[in-house]
Amino acid sequence: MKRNSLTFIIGLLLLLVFVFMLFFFQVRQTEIALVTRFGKPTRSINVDPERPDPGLHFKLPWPIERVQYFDKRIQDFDGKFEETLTQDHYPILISVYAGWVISDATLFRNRFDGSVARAETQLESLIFSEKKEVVGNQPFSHFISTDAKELKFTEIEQQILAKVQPLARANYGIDVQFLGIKRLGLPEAITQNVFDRMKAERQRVVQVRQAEGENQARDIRSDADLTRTRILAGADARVKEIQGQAEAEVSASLKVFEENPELAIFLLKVDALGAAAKEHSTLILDQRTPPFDLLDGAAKGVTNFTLPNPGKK
Amino acid sequence: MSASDPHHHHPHPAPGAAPEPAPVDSGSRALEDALRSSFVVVKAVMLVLLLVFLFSGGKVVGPGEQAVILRFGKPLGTGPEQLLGPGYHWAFPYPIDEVVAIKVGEVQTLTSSIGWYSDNTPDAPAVPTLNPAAEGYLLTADQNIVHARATLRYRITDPLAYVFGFIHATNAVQNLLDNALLYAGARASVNTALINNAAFTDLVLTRLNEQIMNCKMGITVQLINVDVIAPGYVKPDFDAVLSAEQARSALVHAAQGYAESTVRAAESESNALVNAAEGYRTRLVADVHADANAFTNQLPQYVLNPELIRQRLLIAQWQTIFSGKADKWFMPEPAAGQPSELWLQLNREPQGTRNDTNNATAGQ
Repeated sequence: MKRNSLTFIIGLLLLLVFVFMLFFFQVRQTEIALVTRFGKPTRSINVDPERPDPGLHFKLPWPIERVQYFDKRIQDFDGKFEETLTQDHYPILISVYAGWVISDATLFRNRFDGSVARAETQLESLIFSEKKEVVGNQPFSHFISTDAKELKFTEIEQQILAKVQPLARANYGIDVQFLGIKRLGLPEAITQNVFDRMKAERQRVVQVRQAEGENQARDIRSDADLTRTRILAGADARVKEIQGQAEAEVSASLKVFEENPELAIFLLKVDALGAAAKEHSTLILDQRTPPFDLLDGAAKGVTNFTLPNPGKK
Repeated sequence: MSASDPHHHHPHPAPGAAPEPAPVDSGSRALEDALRSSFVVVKAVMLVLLLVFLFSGGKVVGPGEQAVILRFGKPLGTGPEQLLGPGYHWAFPYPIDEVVAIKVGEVQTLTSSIGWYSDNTPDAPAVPTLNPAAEGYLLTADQNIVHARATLRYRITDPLAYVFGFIHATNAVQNLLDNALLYAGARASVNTALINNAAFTDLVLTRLNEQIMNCKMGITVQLINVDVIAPGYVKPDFDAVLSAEQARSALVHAAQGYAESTVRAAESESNALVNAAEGYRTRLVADVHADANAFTNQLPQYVLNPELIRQRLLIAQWQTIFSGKADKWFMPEPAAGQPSELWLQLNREPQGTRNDTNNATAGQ
């Protein structure tokens, strides 16, 4: 009796679980669930990014309703690296990447049978044609430019995205969330031209640098020479000024000599004589030169008379 | 739950069926005992299994990990509260709860997939053309070609966005990194890219951070390194520019050295001239003052007896001269009426040879 009731309770529990599993299904945060009734989609769950509703959901039991799951997370799209022409007829190679999610599970299922690979193939051709159109409306200088205003890199990405977004949403049930340029290149033959130009540019830069070096060096040297001349001219002026000051200072003293110019001149002569006979000079004297005039008469016959000179051999 | 179902079903029919047939003989009693004891064992096993089942939903979250509990697929809590730190977290068994662990602590490393040449040698091959299908490169803003490679280290700072938002989050980060590198190339001149690595890296980083924000990647850049080199074919030309720049600065430095020494020399020369002038002034003033003093001292006596003073001064001067270094020759005046002859041999360089030969020859 007691055992029977326990068995019954357990059986009932199991039955409840079974029924529960028939009528309810889980939807994870990262999933979109599409409920189909006899193969026809009736509703999709957790598809709206604004109102996510993961968790437990009701359905009619199999085989009336079935649940098909899709990944809700962002899928990576990597486009091919293909050649297109810019507005000014530059052939460039460009590839883009994109991140997309399923925005309409019904459409996505009907269109691609739920296959992400098939969706990406379609997306590839859609992005290719839109990319080609946008690139064809832009000059090459909008892709690469030293002028930040001319560069339209981000704008090009946004234009492609803006064109792809509504089409992908309407036709494939796909929301392309972001799109960017992954690679840019030039056809192989053109790289040769670029290299030639780069070489020529570098050689020109070498010449410019050489000339710059010489010019700068010359400028610096001539500046220095000019500075030198200025400094010396300044010094000359200063010297003259000092000399003038000196003359002015002594002129007052010179007035003293006017009291007896005769004595003044005599004193100057005596000084001049002393200065003249200081060195490197040879004096030839006769007996009339004082004090040798004392020797007059006594010196007859003497031809060479040298005063004793202790400093000299 | 399906796995535990058989354990529930089997033991119950067994005890239920056992008491019904009446024990007949010792054989069936032994069988009953055996069944009863094995039933106890089965009960114990069941209990253990039940316990294991109850705790099967829990999970130990390791260090550097965070976890989210999904109840029927819906995260428990909202926003950052969803995230559970390291430690054991209990959850209802499958299919009610599911604990999803996310590795967040480790720094992830990623290298750009565009822009670098295919050959893995240190130097880019010196080929005259680049096949875009095989060789990676960047176009710079001034239409040059360089090879560039970015290495990114990042940390997952918003695990919910990173893990629940992206199927292949690393691929997405890879694309953003490639885009940032490409964009930096399209913005920067070849000189910036090759020489000013800091500015170029900054361009890449700024763009990458913008893209991470736009795409809500939930990561934070820790470090980014960008290598840029010139293609092998044009590398000699870039090297030539570098050596030309070095030569230029060598020339400029030499000129600056010249300028510095010239100006210094001029300044010292100017100082010397001015000093000499000052010296001259000092000397002149002193001399004139001395002369004036001498004059003033001599004057009263000179007025009294001019000749005496003259002779005294003159002889005093002679004395100084005769005791000095000058060569002196004495030649008496010849007798009246007789000619006197003096032969002088003048050297071209009187100073240099003065002491070697005695040039003045006196004769009668």
